[in-house]
Amino acid sequence: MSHDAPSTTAHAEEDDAISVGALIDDLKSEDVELRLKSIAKLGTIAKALGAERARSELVPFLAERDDEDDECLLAIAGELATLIDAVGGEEHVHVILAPLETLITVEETVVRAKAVETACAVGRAMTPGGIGKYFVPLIERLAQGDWFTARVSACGLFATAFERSEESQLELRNTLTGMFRDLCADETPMVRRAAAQNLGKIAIVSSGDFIVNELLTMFAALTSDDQDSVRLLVVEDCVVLGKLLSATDCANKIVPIVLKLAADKSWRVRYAVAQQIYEMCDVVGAEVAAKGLFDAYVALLGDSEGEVRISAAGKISEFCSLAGAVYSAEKILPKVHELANDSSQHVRAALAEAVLGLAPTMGKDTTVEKLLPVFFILLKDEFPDVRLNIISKLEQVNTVIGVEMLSTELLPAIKELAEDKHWRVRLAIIEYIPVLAQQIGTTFLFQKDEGSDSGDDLLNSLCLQWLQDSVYSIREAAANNLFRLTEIFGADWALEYIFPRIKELMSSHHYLYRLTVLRAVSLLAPAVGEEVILGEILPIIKHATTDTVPNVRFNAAKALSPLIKAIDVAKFQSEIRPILVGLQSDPDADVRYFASEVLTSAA
Amino acid sequence: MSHELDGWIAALRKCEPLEEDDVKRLCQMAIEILVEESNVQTIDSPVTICGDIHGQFYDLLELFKVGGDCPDTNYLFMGDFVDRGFYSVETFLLLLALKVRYPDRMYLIRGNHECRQITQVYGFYDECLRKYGSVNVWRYCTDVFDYLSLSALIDNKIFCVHGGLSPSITTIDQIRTIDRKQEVPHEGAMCDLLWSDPEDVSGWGLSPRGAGYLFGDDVCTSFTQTNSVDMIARAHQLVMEGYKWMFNKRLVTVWSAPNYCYRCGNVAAILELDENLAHDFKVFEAAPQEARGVPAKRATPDYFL
Amino acid sequence: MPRDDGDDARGVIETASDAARAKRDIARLGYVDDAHVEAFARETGASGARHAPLVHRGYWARSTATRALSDAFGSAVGDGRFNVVNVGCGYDTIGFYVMERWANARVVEVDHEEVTKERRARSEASAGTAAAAASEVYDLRACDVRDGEALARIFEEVKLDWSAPTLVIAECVLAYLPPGKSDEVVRFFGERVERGAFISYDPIEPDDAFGRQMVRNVESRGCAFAGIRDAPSVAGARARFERNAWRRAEAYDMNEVYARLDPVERARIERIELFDEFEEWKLIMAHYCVSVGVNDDEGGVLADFGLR
Repeated sequence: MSHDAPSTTAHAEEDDAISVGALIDDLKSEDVELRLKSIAKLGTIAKALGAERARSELVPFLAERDDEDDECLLAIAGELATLIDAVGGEEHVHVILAPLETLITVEETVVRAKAVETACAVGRAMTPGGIGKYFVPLIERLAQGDWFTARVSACGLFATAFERSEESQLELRNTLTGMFRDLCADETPMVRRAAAQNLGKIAIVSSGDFIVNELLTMFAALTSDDQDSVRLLVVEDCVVLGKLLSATDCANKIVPIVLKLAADKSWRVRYAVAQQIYEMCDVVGAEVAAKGLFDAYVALLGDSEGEVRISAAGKISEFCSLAGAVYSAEKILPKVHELANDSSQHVRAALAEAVLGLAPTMGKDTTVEKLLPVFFILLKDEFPDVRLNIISKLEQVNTVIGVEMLSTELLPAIKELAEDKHWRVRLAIIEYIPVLAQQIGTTFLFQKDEGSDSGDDLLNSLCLQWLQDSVYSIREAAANNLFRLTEIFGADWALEYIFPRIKELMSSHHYLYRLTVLRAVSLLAPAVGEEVILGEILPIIKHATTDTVPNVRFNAAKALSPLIKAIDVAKFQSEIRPILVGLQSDPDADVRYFASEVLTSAA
Repeated sequence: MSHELDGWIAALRKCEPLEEDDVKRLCQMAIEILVEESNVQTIDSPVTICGDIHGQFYDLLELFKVGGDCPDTNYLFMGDFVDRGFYSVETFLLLLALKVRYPDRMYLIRGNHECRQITQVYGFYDECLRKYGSVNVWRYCTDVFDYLSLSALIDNKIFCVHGGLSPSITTIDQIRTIDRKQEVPHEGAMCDLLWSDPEDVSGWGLSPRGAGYLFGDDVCTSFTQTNSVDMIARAHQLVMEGYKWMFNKRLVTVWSAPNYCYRCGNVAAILELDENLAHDFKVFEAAPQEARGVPAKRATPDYFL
Repeated sequence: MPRDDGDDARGVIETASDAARAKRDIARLGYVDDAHVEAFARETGASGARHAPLVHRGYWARSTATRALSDAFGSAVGDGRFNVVNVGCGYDTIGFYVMERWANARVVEVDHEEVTKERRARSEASAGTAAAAASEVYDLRACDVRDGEALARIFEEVKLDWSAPTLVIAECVLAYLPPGKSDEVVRFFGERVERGAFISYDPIEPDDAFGRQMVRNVESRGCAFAGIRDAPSVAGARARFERNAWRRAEAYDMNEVYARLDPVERARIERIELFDEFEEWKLIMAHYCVSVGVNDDEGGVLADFGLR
């Protein structure tokens, strides 16, 4: 415990007097900005004043004044926490509760919540005796408040009171329990909501006996509350309580409540259950969960409300791995088929995001037979997010059924999606190509594209077409894709198939498409070796340095940079340096800048 | 200098606002460049023309994803960088930093919202106050507004302006004589260029906006003929399809704020001109939800409830 | 999305506070004269940023239209006692407005219990408002308007005389109801009101680009326009009255309504704030509508009642 430190010099005292006077003036100012600034200084000033004056002058002043601006009230509610260390330790800290008490009952929710938070911090700094003397009486006054805001705030203080009081303070604890029981049955729904929100927090700091004997009865009443907004808060408490109770108590006392809420007439409650039911199953374990919870989940997958189906569908792969292949195949798979044809695009998108995770649980045969058809339905969905979600997770299936099989099945769909009108779908496909290529080799790239008029192979119709996509990000990704393919298949492959084709693109009439070629060749450089660089890449870039459009010239300069790292110094001096030196006297400032930049970094 | 600027640009691309002192210096640098620009800034093709952005920072990033990054792609933004959206500060400062870093690759002309009065009603002022705790940043930025050019002329063929034409302007040369370094006036040529709208009227009409005029096909035709330009590109009006041709393709409205005010459900467009002035509109949608900052509940747009 | 089973409409209830704040702001700015709205709008500072001028102008149009219609009703029905029933009243002050203008008016306002409790408490904040709320011609009752039986009980309790001319007002209420429910509410009054009218203000056109976004946005606030498709257009809003026991009906989108409001007043309020939201103004106003159902004998006093 610290002693109040008196100011050591008259000078310091004078300073304090000035600052507290100025602070009080500023706090009374008409100007909100000024008030906010001075509020932010409260903690510093309290420390400068010393504990005694902070208690006797500053805190009473704060308790008496009232601000009308919510922003200021919010700031004070937060800043009061900084006084905890400044008023003289645990014996005195309760004085801060006085200014908090008014803030705790204001109408603005944000201010109240902050004041409750600070009050709890104050409570945690108090002795058990102080809790009984100051903190619990505060709760009592609030719990008896006429205005519901006071009673809502009271609910937020119980966990701290239980935590900081001692088991031996029996009477005190009985009073608290009684008050909380009353709040759980308060006539205003907002108060009951606050009680439901805090019940779990109280449980966390309580003994198992107290939970079973006291909290569970209050809890049971809340689960049948006539307001759905109360019942839905109870759902989260189920998981919290479940974790705190023994397995038997949990199975006997909590699971039945979850099952009841899973069939609640309000969709918002069922939605909350859909959010929590996996965790609940995890808490009780598969064996207990199989007695009812799994079936409840399956029912939620077929709920009449879309939001509930969305939430449930998102958890489908975790559920299947917990429930096992047999149950999943029998009960969950039929629902997967229904959901793939759901009338809500958001439900289908949620399913698409999660459904590929089922493959490992279901095994190869079931995946091929039952899941692949679902993937194809979703891949062709009219809503781009659904398609996107499937494509970006395809890798998860490779490992189960083998990429070869997947690719034969998938190629037609991929070709279609490669031209999707939403560029993010095209992007997802591009990013998937190297994965396919890595695992099944070049053959699939040279399959004749039946859909193409020119009878082009896939490489040409897709990978090179993307270089001319109208969206910049797709062109970038296409360039990167060629690099990744070259990494896999090697320089000779690139020389034979890529270079002849991208050279043609350099004659595009549009500068942005010429830039894409430069981007592609500069990416390829590290993967192809000096011979190809000098024989193929350098001539392309050199030609670009004489382009009429400055953007092409400075990108040519930039494209030289990765070449320099990949070739011999002598070659740099003879082949590349002269080009860059020439560009340093270009009429365009950006060309000169980037040429110099590349030269400097080469040196 | 360029290293410092590159640092600012990198931070702004992540939607991180600059320190107040850095804003001050950026704005001073910008003024030094803008003061040299003509009221009718001459631009060479190729260039991509963009309309209103209105502080929709994440949609501006989307625009760059579709149109290309600066300096690879050359850009002309036709004003209304600020107000309405949640990120006017970051939006304007990013564009301004790119302007200072690459003056020949990025062109900015003034919109009617680049103005002290309007920004106090439509959000930029409040945003600066909220993000910096003072209005200094607003002051620095509005000082820059006064130096922004009023219009641009691409390859002497495409005239670009935020709003439209003015009854006091017959020739492009007349625009060159305006003293633009001031707050946007309530009337007169400078005001009209930033406020007017094309409309299905004959000659000139009164604007419901209370500033600028409505101008018809005949006015547009005579302006393009007198000044031997092919067409006028302008922004200023929300068009649900992102762009809209009028007057026999002698005028086009380009609108680059998708789902304007997070409320209108529209798509956006930019107009890509290649080195032969061939044009291609790129239409794009609002950035996906996960690409944005956390959408505050309170930030949902206003309706009548 | 169907919201047929929720027994607590918290999101919708919050909209009452939001509307009260906007209405308080337009009173402070001088758009409308409203002595009572200060008592109801408690939210300040941290509750939210200032609304754009478009919102102010839109709220002005809505409240001016409702006031004009209630005045027209008062003058049409003459000196005898008439009723005004405000369904889903929130913190509206229209009931007080009518009482103060028409000594022969009897006002009954109805809303969800959480709102009426709060409304009652808030009216104490101002002596004038408290006095109006305590008037013997005024009743505020808690009731879920979706529950027809409960609604009927309430009108029995307050002894509403259905034979007197009755004006029903529902501002931004019907669209929040679950699909099909708004028909029941409209019919409930259509079958009871012998001579009178029903004024409804609702969002419409949920299926164009703006409308889809509007539906999504209000849904994400937790106050979905669940029943908007019951009357998805101006024609639909008119038809809702015609198919539910109202003999005559008319409806206009808010652009049309705005054009019909007093031009002098319009010119006055258009000068209050700088305004640069024309395209959106047209868009948003095309997505709201005022519809009116009338029950009266042919050639009766309400023959001309409506937006003239």
